[in-house]
Amino acid sequence: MEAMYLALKNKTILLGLMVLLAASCKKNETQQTEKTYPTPYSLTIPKGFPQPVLYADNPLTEEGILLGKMLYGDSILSTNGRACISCHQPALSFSSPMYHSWNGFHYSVPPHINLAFKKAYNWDGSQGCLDTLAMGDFAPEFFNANYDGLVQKLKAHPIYPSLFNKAFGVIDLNQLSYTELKRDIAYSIGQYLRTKISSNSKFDQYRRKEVLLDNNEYEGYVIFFSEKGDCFHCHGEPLFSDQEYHNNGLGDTYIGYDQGRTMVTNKEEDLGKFYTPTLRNIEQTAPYMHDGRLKTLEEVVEFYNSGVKDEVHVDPLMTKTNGTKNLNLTPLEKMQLVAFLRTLTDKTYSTY
Amino acid sequence: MKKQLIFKLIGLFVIGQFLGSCKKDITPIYQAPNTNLKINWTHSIDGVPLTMDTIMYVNQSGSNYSVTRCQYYLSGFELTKLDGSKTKLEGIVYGDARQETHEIKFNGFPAGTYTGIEFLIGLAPEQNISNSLESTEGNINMAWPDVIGGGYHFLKFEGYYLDTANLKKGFTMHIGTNDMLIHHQKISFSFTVNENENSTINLNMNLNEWFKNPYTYNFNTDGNYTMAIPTLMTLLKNNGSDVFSIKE
Ligand code: HEC
Ligand code: HEC
Repeated sequence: MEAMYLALKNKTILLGLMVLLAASCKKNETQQTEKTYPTPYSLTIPKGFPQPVLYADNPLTEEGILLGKMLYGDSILSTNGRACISCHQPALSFSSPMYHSWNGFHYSVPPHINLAFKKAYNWDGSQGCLDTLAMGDFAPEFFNANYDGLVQKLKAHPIYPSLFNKAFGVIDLNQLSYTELKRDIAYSIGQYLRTKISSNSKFDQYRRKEVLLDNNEYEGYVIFFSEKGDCFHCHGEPLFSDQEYHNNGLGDTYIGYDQGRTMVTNKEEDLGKFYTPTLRNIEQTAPYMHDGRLKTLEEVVEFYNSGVKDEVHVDPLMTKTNGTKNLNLTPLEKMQLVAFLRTLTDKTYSTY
Repeated sequence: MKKQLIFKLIGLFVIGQFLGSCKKDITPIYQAPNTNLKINWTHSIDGVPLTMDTIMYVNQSGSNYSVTRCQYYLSGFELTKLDGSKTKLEGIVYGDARQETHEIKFNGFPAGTYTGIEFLIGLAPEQNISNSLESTEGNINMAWPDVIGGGYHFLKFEGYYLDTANLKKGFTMHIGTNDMLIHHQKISFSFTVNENENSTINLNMNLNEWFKNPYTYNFNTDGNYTMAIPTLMTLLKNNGSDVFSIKE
């Protein structure tokens, strides 16, 4: 009797195992037939770039990207005629020639270039996730959006309802709460923005040995990547940002947004620190710095050459070879450094 | 009884089939010894665990200073056997004092009793080549630009110090290029690695050792910036050969 029982138990274990194994082998078969699935999309990562930051709950899909792209350029999201592209102008690498004023402070509009690789967003890194970043844009001071109007407009649109369905399985937009609706919109825009990858500037082509730099560009390249200009420690290849926070010596008082990273961390040592911006397409994205205080690349280079403040919060890396914070570049060298910065423009990039 | 046996055999056969189809790609390979060694390390200043970003340390020359960055590579690990012969352990590890844990793991090397460990701070010439390491954030930021020789920084050690007038200044102690490769001296201690066991070595870097022994480095008189200054890098290189010790 006992032997019988044992044998039976063994058999059940065996059967159980078989079922388990069968299941693990057949992971990829779909059970449902009615539901449609969006088409997965994978980014092409340029050589030498780090891995992109992607989240499992917002995988890239062709339908999601298309929806994001359409919404990004559409004032349907706002009640004041604004779209993302009102400030993030495609022809200027999605930046703006005007800084944005808010709460009495100036905010330069950062470009969208290689956002998929960034670890944090906004000048002070206040946003950690690209997928949810756009949710803030529905606020009164940006889009002044309202839920009822937004749902009505989207539902009446010839394409959006079906795209929401294909991308996120939304059968009826009415069934989403405002937060869910904003999340799906932000998720789709996050997907679209991740596809905006730039790696085809003249300098990239030079590094791939496809073109030559002219003499001034080459000399500027040497200045940038040597101790002479010492830009590479923060703005190194391939992103031209080290993805860290630095105080590059713009100011010696820290009021409002000038406090930088301290606004997020509340730490004294983070005063005046900002997330190193990329320098790709820099000639298209004036004005410069978090508040747009510098209008031209010549002004930027002159700032680094002679204008860096000798203040205790300034990054150790801003101390230069002669112990001071000045570069002592000649007029020719300054011109060459600017010429180099212009080789970072990817002429094939700024198409929306 | 017989029936049950047949049942079991069929069951096993079916499982075998499944296992076979799932594990198709695994083919037997050479069996290295099953040894496992983990090297952990910490950072301290003269016995006190490192706190970043606060001017609270004093170096040999008397400067008060803080640490805002300490990043480096360790590679070329070698264990010394009782008979004096060396066992090489392949691997490169990036260290960043701001991170909480630091470790590198080795396995498949001969078991036995060893009398010490030595390694490089930096990368051997055949590894110190631009873009040879994986494009991680750490490796990307350690890149040593091609126009000044290419490869990677071996060490980035940065912070603030108070100068002779008690003013806060920045220092950047960077080391790179093949000439500056640091052969860390052998750290002697006896340990035994057995097969089928996990062995651990705990090391510690005393950051103050970068500023002493043999040379008492002074920010005020020697300089707070080593970039493109081989004479200063050489002083740090020489000081760097005993920055690690065994942690008890
Ligand atoms: C009124 C102008 C304006 C509008 C409209 C606007 N933005 Fe921005 N955007 C800004 C400014 C200014 C910043 C920088 C804010 C900061 O750093 O604190 C910014 C930052 C960003 C960033 C971070 C970029 C980076 O590199 O860190 C992203 C992404 C972004 N916006 C996406 C959008 C999207 C998507 C929309 C539409 C839903 C949008 N923006 C609408 C002005 C605008
Ligand atoms: C210590 C790190 C560091 C060094 C070194 C450094 N930068 Fe910057 N750079 C920054 C940071 C941080 C910002 C953003 C500051 C802000 O917004 O207030 C910035 C901003 C810029 C901008 C404006 C970008 C924009 O989108 O507005 C340009 C252009 C620039 N740097 C070029 C250079 C050049 C050229 C050099 C070398 C001469 C250099 N940087 C050296 C950290 C650095």
